Amino acid sequence: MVAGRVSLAVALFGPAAVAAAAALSAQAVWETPSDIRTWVASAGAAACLLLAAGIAAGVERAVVWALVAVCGIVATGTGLGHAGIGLAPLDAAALVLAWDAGHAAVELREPALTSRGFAIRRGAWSAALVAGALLVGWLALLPGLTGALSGAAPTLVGVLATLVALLLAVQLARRGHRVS
Amino acid sequence: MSALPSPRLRSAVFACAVLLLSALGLRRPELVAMAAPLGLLLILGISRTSAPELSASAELSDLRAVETDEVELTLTLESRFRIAQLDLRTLLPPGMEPLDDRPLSRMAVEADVPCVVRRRYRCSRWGGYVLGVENAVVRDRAGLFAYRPSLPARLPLRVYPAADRIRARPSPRRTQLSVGSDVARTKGDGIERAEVRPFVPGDRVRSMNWRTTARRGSPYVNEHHPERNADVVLFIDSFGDDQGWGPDPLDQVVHGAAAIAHAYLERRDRVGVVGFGGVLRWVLPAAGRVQEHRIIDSLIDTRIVASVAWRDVDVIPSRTLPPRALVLALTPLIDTRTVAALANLRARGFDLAVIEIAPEPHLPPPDDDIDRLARRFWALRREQVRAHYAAVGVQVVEWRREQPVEAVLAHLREARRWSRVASR
Repeated sequence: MVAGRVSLAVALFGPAAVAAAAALSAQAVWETPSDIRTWVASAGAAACLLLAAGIAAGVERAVVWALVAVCGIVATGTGLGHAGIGLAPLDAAALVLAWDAGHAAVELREPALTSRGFAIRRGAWSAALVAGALLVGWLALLPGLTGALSGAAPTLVGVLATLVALLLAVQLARRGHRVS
Repeated sequence: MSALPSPRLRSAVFACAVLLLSALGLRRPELVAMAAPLGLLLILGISRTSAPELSASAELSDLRAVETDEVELTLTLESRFRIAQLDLRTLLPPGMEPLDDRPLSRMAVEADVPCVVRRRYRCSRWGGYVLGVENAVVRDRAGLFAYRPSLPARLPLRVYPAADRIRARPSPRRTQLSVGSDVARTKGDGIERAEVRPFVPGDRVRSMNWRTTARRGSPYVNEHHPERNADVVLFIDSFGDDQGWGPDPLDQVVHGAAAIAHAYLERRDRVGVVGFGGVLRWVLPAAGRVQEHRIIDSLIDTRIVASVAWRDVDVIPSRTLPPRALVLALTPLIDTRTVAALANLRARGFDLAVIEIAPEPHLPPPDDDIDRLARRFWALRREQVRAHYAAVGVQVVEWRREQPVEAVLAHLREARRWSRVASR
């Protein structure tokens, strides 16, 4: 055990989360048609401010709702806009970065006695998450880009996803009731 | 052990739901691609998380300490599987001061490798404490779930009061039969000379006072006072209403009693304790180092307990108050039950001295004239009690908070110097 203050980690994670959320919001604003662009921009700014305030105040609930708001803004921008599909992996990576760094900034807020090499491990984990998100986002788009997924295939994938979601819900329910 | 969902899990689920529903409603596959990494993380995190098998043991550098001492708590944590993040909270009793107040958070415990954590505390107040793990939170790798394993790693710690050194203590009027350091008022074999008297048949030749014999022309012998031990009983008044008093009077009593007990035990006297209050506690008189520990253990368990039950000396076990014992009472002389019990002891012929814990310094200043008048009545009543004790031959000395206990005992010693046991 070493006495390692992690305030530096907070100073890195907090701005990274807000920057990722701001980038996602900016992209949504850029994709949005000009008649509602002001509204989307205001909503994006509010979400980023909420995220920054939540991180600064250490209120994790604010971080949760700020991330959900950013997702809603991105969905609005993507749905109403006409941007290309190619930026989606980058968006996925930015979303994962905002999610992980936003929560990490609140979790690492208090200085504590940590294990040796904690900051390095934590940074490596965040980097791996972002790289993984980039890869998974690209893989998710691959069938659509190559045209491999057409006809009945999307329905099968949807049914499979539903089954996985059901299994997930059952496992969650079991885990919640398991008391030893 | 149940898994508690973390805010990370909530935000990931909500974000995925928003993106996937939007993808469905707006028919935009790129939103699915955005949700896919978080969704995959949720699936992996939920399927791979499991309850931790964590065990902990605690070790203290000392199980007994003295005020201002530092103790080190060593926690050894072991787990069958790797724990990515463990947050520990240790117990912090009010009388213990942590030397490092940073929480033990974000610790990694490797599988089958003991993880040792050390915390240092300063013992700021006497008392009985428990140190160890208060609670532990184990988070999984992705931070989606938290578990709260129960870790019964706790150890008791006894912190003894730092007793002042007392060089001169009041001598008991009557001594016991065992050898000790007190000069008895009777005559016998000893070092302290009592008197010189004419020789009578049976006197030993080694007792001859040759100088007086030569001067007077007839044989004279020396007589001595023998060195004997004494029985001392510390009578601690723990009656009272603890509202408005704070811990200071009890603190003063415990420090004083510990110092007095040490001073008498050091001189081979037998010392006992009677805690007279809402809860009656006693330690039978005995001598030696172990007895000092017994007494201090008893003292640090002393608490002010408010009680309305009438108590008298009759409730005290008779062996606790041996005949010819010196009874030293530490009391604020407030509770009528204590006042009556002490008067009863004196009436039974015990050698009694009272160290009065002055209550005024522990009280807030009076607010108005009525308060001041009430204080004056109160002071007069206590003065009357003191006068009553003086009339029956009990010395009462006042001990104010700022005075060292040695000064109080010196005062008591002076007050008892010329006193004699009244014949009844």
